[in-house]
Amino acid sequence: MSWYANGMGIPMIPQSGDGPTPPGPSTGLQFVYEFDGLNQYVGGLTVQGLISRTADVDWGDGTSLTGTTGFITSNYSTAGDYTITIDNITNSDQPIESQVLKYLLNYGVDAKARIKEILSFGTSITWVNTFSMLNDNSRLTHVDLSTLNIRAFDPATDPSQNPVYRTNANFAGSFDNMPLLTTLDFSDFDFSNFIQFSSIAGNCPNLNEGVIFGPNNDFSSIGKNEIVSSIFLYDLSNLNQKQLSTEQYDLLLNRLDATYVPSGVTFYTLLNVGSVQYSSNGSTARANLVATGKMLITDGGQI
Amino acid sequence: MIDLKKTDLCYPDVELYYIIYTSNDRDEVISYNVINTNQCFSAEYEPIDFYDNEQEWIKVLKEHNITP
Repeated sequence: MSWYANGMGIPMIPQSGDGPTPPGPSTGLQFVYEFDGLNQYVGGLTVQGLISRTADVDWGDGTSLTGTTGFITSNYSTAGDYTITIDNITNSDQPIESQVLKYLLNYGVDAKARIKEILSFGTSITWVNTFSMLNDNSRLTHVDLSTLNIRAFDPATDPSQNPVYRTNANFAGSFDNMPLLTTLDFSDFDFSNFIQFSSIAGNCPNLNEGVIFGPNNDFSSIGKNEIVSSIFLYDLSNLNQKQLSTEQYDLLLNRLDATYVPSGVTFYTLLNVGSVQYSSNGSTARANLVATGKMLITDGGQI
Repeated sequence: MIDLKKTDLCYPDVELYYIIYTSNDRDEVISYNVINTNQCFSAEYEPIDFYDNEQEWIKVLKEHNITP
C-alpha cells in the first residue's frame, strides 16, 4: 500500500455565464407525457396523488379540469407528446398526502416510462419524501431540478410519520435506470433542506454531460436529523470520471467546505465518489472536510 | 486485521475492506465498504477496522448479522 500527501491548492472561483433569460417555470407540476394511442390512462397518474386534495389539471390537449380530486384520467384520442400541468394543488406540503404526490411521477411502470421531460416540479409545490422519487423513468431525457422545493420532515408537525422516513429530504435511490438522461443539473438546486444524497444515478449510461453543481449550493443541512445521529451518506460512487468531472468534484468539495456544519461528536458523513479525482483546486477543502468536518472520504485521489 | 487509526490511505496494493463502528466498543456497525486499488480513503475517525482478507472481513460482518 502507499500513502498519499495532499498538496495545498487555490480555492476554485466558480464561473457564471450570461445568456438569454428563459421563460419562468410553471407554478405547477409540468411534464411531457408520451401517449402511444393505445393506453387510455396516464398509468394511474392521479389514483393516489389527488386523494384528499384538489388540483387543476391541464391535459395539454385543450382539455382541463378545475378543482378536481380523486381518480381522474386523461382521454387522449391521438398518439403524441402532451404537456400536462397539475397546478393549484391543495395541501401539497402535508407529508402524508404529498408523500403520495411523488406517485404522480412514479406510479405504475407504464406511466412513469412515458414521462419524457419534467419541465417543472412546480414553484408553488413543496415536496416531501423524495426518497426514490424518480427511478426507472426509461424515456426521461430532461429534468428541471431548479424548481424542486423540498422540505424535511419535522417531528413536531409530522408526528404520524415513521421516524425512518423523516430523513427523506434526500434523493436516496433516485435517478436510477434512466438510460436517456444526459445530465443532472443541481447548479440551481436548493440543497438547504437536504439531509442525504446517496446512491444516485445508477445505470445512467448516457449521463455524459454529467452531474453539475453550482457556486451557491448550500449543504448546511446534511445530517440534521434527530433519529439517525451517527453517520450520513453522500454517495456518488455510481458516477465515473466523465459523469462527475474533476472540476465538478472540486466545486462540490468547496461548497461542502463552505457550508457543511458537523452537528455532534458522534456525527460523521461518508462522502464516496468512487474513483473520481480532485485537483489542487479541491485539495484544501477536502483536507478541511476530513480534519474538521468529520467526513470520511473515498475518491480517486488527486490528479 | 490491519491496525490503522488516522487514515489517509491511497491506492492500496490490494483491495482493503473496512468496517466503521459507532464507538470503540465495536458493538454497532454503521458502515462497511471496500477501498479499491484506484481509490483513496481519508478519515480522522478511530473506530474503523481494515482488512486485506475479504473472508475475514465477511466473517466479522456476519458476527454483526450483516451479509455484505
